[in-house]
Amino acid sequence: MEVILLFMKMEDKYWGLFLAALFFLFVLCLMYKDRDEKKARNYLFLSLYGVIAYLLFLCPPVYAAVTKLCPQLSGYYELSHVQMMVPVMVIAAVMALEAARKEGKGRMAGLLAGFFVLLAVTGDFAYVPAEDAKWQAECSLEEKEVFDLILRHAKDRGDDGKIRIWGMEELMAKSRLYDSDFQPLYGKDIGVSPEKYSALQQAMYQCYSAYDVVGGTAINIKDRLDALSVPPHQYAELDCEYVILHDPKKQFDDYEEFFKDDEFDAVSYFSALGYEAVGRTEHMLLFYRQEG
Amino acid sequence: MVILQGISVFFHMCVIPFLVGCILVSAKEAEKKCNVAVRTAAGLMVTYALYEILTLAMQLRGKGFREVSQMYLYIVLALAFAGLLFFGYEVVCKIRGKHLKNYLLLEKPDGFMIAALVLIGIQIAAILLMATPDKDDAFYSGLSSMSLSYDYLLEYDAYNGNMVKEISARYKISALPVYQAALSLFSGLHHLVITHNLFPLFYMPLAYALYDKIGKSFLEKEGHGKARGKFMFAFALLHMIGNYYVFSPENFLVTRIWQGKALFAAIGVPFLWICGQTVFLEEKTGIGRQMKGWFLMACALLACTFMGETGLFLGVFMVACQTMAGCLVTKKWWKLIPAVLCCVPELLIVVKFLM
Repeated sequence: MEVILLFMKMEDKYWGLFLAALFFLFVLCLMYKDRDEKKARNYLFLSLYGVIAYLLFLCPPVYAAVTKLCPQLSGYYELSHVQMMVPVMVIAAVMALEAARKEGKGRMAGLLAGFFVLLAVTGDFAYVPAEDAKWQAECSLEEKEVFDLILRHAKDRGDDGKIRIWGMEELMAKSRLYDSDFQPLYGKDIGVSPEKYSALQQAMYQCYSAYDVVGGTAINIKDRLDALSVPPHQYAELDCEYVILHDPKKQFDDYEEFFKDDEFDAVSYFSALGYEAVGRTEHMLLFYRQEG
Repeated sequence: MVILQGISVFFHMCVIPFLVGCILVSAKEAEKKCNVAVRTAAGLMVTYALYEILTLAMQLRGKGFREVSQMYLYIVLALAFAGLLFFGYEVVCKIRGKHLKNYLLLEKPDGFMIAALVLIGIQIAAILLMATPDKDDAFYSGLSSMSLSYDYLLEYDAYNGNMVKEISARYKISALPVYQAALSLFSGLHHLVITHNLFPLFYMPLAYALYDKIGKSFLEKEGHGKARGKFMFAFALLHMIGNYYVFSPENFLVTRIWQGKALFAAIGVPFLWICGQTVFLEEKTGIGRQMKGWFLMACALLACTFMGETGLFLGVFMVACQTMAGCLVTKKWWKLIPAVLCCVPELLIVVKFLM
């Protein structure tokens, strides 16, 4: 039952159109059989390939075998490029248009309109990823609270431009979806300033290696280090106005034990680096870089 | 300095693959047109396969990133030199003066093709100017950084910079992040600039050119020669508005071409299709050309493995489907044997690294 549900969930929106296109290509193959044998074989090859790939993808034992061998592949199993879905649909659409053009302009206009209505109804604009809404909905109340704190602080000091922030990895990813004014220091910015990034990354590795406590598992080390995000001394080098930090004292029940030899006082650290604490939520601290 | 570095990367990412491709995509096929895209893609598949083999072999022997990259550079430069000789011979002896203009110039585009080129240009501009990579991307760039900084060859997991955790087996078989680090090593340009800016700039047009080649094989001479333009226009448009779920094909080609899975979808899949059309459907070909076709298919499968575990399994899946369809269409069942032989390296990789 689970396998069937998975297929229903992952089934492509274009599947009906795709199967119709495959059938149309098969008809084309029959039409070309006497006129142009090479082209007819091409169409037959493509339509047969499409049907075989579609059936194999749909076949639960194949799915079970592949995911048993490679569990990580379940997410990418139905990568519909492999079915040649887009070329099949577009070739069929173009050939249908050509056929309709010979028949008359009215039909051609109707076919073209139908094609684009289907695209518009079933597709989304590629540059607005489908998960955006999901991510935004997944922002916790506390995350929304800290984003609102920043926006309010920026507004109070009359800053209408982009707000550069650094924080926990996932929080940064969510920030840019919460409000377009947020500009997390991540990815593209790093690509533009590679020297800064290289230095930072190496420092991060060294810092993380130092935290490799004896007997600690990789997972709990990772969880603890997420609280720090980057070594504190690196914050001063980052060109960002706001830093969001998990308050270590609130984050871990065993804070005292973990930091007993290495007391981490976030407020003192960031004050020394020219930041001031401008707000807090239950588990997070917000710092703003003082100008000058 | 940056310009020189840019030229150096262009040489490694485009010129060398084109020259290597000249060895395998024959002059006879390219007599009328230079066929730059297919040759470059063929060369890429060979160079990727070479880097993959070297990486896997050197991993087993405990060698480092720089040693692999150095060996790769020597071999690939030798191949490129051989390709230059092939190309020179082809231009001087086979094409000669009267065909040269026809050979080098692109076909005159019609209105639809120009509109398609504009759409592709918009997509490239969008990815260069607007894209913000996610944390998945940080992992891949982390692997490249670790190779450059510590001479690692896919040894440790780059998530969160935790160097004490061994990398998962499925990432060990994919040499793409290390290859991207090698491009950075050869050129001096940072690997993030190469992946985020130059991969889309060079390889998105290549991906579309390969799909254009596929469209051409079906639509040539249709609609008074204008059907191809319509195909490319609709194809590019669909890639802009087809992002209906995170693994949709459109998403892969236009938003993250520097990642292995996306490179597989953008270049691996159309190239495997073109290989399949060549080896299964072309009848009037000599044994030499057939052998080249099968060799290219084997290289393409290794290149798909180089792009990641997804490419390994789905590449073989694609060849299996092509073999079934090809044998049914042509009734030449002996083609099952070379098709299976092409997949043997992938089987060995699965047994050695993933089981």
